[in-house]
Amino acid sequence: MRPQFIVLIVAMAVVTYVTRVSLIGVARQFELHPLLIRALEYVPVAILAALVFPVVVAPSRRLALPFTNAYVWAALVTAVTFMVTKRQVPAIMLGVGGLVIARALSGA
Amino acid sequence: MLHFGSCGVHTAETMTAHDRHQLRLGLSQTLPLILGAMPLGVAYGAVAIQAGLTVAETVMMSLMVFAGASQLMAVMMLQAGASFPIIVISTFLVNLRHLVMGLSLSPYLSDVTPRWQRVLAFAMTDESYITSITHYRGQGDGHRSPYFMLGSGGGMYVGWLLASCVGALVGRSVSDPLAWGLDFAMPATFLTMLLPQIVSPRLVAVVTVAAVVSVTAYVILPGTWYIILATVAAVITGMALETHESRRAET
Repeated sequence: MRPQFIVLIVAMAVVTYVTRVSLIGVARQFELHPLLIRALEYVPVAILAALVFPVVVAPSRRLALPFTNAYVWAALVTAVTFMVTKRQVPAIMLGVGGLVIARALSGA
Repeated sequence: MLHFGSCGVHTAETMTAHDRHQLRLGLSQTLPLILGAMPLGVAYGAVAIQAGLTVAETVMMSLMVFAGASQLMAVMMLQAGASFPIIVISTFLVNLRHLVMGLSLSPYLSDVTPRWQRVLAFAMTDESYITSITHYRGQGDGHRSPYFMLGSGGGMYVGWLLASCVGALVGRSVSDPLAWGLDFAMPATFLTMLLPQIVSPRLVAVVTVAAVVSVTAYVILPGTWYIILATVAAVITGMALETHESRRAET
């Protein structure tokens, strides 16, 4: 291992860990304002939406129309399967399976 | 129960049956995301080798940094010839979203020891954060076991290391693993976690705003600003609608 790359990796590790550890213990040290606690209730659902919609609607960070964008159809398959069956694993597998098959067929 | 939180992380023999159950539960509930992150890990490993890192350096980065998006970005920047300080600053910017995640998780970890918090912080990825906070919220006011998040983040860690190793070893021979379609496992899993949370017109509005803002920012801005901006917009929307609803109820 080359020293300069070890320095790079350690520096990346430090700045990453700082962002993770800075606020995770804040509610143990300070009484958070009730208004802040209520506001934070919306964070998980917002992060989930941000982890789903962009990569589906704009893969490669460019908007792609539903007609040509297989991710949109795969997401619909997953959503409908999940709402009908209420089960997570079949919904994910049908969506992923559909996308892999669609990719393989269009690539062939 | 008073002494519950004070047992150390390393003392496996003091783990109760409940702890082990929570550890397994955290692991099993994160499994779709662990598998979904693997194509990204393979891609990272392959690009790292192509960028000129050795196998040892590639694995060391996964061991120490453990952050998918920023690692992939870092090796792509290396390949493009970026300087080290720029790579470190970009890593920091991409990971700023962890501040919001840590803050929103902290009320659920307030009775966990600082030592546990430091361990769980290392294990906090997008995936383990979402799985753990969803689990803790669903528990109501009961005791939140740190073992759940340890199982969730620990599973992500092992999966990430394995995938990076595979990517580093097959290196050049792998054609873009992100083009197979397996990468959809990740958003598909997040989608099945999102849908059950949309239980009121207010949450429909919050999710719609988060979707529009995140997609727009994803296309326009670099890094992970789309996550931070979507969160800010969603919080403002949610709080404004709450205020509006309570005013209407009063009149």
